[in-house]
Amino acid sequence: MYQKIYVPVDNSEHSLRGIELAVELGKRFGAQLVGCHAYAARMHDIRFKQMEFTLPAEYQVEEELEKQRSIHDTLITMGLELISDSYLEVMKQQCALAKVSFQPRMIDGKNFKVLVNDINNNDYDLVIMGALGLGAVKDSVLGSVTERVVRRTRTDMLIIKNTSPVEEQLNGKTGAEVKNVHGNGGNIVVAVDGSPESFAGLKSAIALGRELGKEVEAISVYDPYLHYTMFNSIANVLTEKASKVFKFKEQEQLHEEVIDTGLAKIYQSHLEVARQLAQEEGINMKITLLDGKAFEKILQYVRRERPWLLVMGRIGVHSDAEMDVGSNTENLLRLVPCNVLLSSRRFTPPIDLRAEESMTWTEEASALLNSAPEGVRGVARTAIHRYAMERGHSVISRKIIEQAMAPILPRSAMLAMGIIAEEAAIRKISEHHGETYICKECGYAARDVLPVACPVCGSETAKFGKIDKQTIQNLGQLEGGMVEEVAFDDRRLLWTSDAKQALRGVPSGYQRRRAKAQIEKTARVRKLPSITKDLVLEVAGEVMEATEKLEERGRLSQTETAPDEAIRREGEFSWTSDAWARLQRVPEGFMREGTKKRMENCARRRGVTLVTLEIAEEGIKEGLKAMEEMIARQAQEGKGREPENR
Amino acid sequence: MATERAKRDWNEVEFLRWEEFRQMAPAIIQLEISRLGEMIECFPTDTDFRNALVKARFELKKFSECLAGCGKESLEEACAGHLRNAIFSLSFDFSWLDEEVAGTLKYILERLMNVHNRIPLIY
Repeated sequence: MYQKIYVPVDNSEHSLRGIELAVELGKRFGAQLVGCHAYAARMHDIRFKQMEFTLPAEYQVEEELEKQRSIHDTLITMGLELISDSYLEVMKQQCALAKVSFQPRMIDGKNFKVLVNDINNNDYDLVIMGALGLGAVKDSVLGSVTERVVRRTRTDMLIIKNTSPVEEQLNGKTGAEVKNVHGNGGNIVVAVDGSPESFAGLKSAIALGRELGKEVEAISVYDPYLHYTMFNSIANVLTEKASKVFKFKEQEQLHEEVIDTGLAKIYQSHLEVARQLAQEEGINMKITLLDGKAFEKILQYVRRERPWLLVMGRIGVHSDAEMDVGSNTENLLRLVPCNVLLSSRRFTPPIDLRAEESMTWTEEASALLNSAPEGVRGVARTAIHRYAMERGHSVISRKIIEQAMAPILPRSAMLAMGIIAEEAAIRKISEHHGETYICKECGYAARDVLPVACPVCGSETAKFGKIDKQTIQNLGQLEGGMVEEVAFDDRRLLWTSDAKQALRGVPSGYQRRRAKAQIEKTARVRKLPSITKDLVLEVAGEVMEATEKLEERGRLSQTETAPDEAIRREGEFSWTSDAWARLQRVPEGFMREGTKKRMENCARRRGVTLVTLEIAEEGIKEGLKAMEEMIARQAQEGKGREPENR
Repeated sequence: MATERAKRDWNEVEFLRWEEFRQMAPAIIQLEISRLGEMIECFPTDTDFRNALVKARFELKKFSECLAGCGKESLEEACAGHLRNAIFSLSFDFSWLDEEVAGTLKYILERLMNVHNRIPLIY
């Protein structure tokens, strides 16, 4: 794994631990060690000249000044070399004892610059460096040289933060003073986010774990809360009107659905891939999925589990390749109380690699992927590849995308993102008695006649799917007989009969689908075993309030009318409040009385005793019609009388 | 014509860099495609209105794809037509529609027109 390990030294406590660990790794991996001390002779020289004026008066004589300059020059040129030699001697002796090949290096120059230059121009495959140098004080968390080297190099770096003796770090303390919960000096924790850097980090961790006898585990963190913050922030600045136009609540729900279910599955799949990689190496690895802000959750995990080493990708899955260090990595590098391995290598798990190399995408599938937001295309492409590879496909078609995304994205999100084009019309088709042909490409609906070509996207006849009412009805019957319902994210939930009945109180169509999704989500959040009527009323109560006394077609459910305060009783009929209000808008007097009678007659004809708004409107229509007829009749009669009037 | 109008009524804050447009337009178009998708879902298949929405969504997707592959110079010639077609598809009298739906459609049109009117202002 490691053949050439580079160790910058400065005789600090962290540096000394770094040397110890490097020797240990050199021994186990058979690697050559290169120790390097950088010294800044030129800087010392300049500083001395700048401060000559502070020398005591006896030195401010020409001859003495020259002498002092000469002494200082000697000190700088030779002394610093001697110091470097001494620092490197420590490492040399340890290497000799361990029979590890060692090469010393001394470089004059600005420390971070020469180190970076040396690392970038050589083939070291690991750099081991202390998190802090000699200049560290109590509150220091990361030395400036280390930070600058981390930012400017692309070689794996193991940053030493634990200053306990390496023997103790690797084998644990014996007796009562066990420093961590494992008692063996701690495990290796790998933070996996699906990036090639994190997968390469996992490979390194497995190799280190094997050689050092350390257990390796993987964790992954997804952040479903960021969008809540974003939406709340936006909600505070939008006017009520703008919120309505923007359909803010629906957008928020869509995001919730996508993020709650989609992100968890994606990051879980990264962990599964990690586990598979470990299994291939003969390791049964523990995996843990966490939710929240990545660096915070990992930090908490590390503080709790106290691993020996945290392995992270230098940059994360969302970083540009040009990025020096990812923000989560940077925060953790400063804050975690354990050693850190920053992986700059890249490793793409074989399944993705094979998919990238062998998969062919149809034009339609490529276009569909391109229609997804740019930021998620990479993630979606990986998920689709994995799905297709696992099932032996070699060509990615639109159908494969639909199938691959189905377990990740809820159907509503797929519809909203245009992934399912032909589904768009199917839900409404049952209202139509003839045949309907739906274009699978764009969703165009043609009734009764199968088009030769789609007038919207130009697709040929074969792209149209026929949908008839019988099919839909059969499906409907099948679904209606089930007590177990499929939720918006394809999970199955149990509904009581009462709950299903209560849900019908929400107007059919979009409102009902939305209410159902809200109820299902609430049930899942609360971990309820089944959905009850009470829950339905609690979640969808507001929507139902206005309509709960009405059946779907606007007729009163006779069994539930009596106690409602909104009902007004007038003689043999009861009136809903809106029907009564409608009647009150008719001019008082004979017109209102006449209209009232017509409305009551309508109710009578329907065989109900409750006058609803629909019935009231029907009565008014009848009244208008009667009035028009009357006016027409009068006009006709007037015509007949015209000659006489003249 | 659009360029002339832009010159006449130009406002320097509305000029934008090509990179900004490439960043801004797909985000807006994608949101409007989603919004249209939701509306399409809510209308029965036997209405011409639904097919008009389908047509608009289709043209917006075309515009979006085209935008991803074109340069500043070829934008007007190669892509803007799709955006105009989408706008035309939505340019019907929707006073008969439910107030909320009509309001949303008006909002979508305004957003699309805004993207369209920025095209001559790209530098």
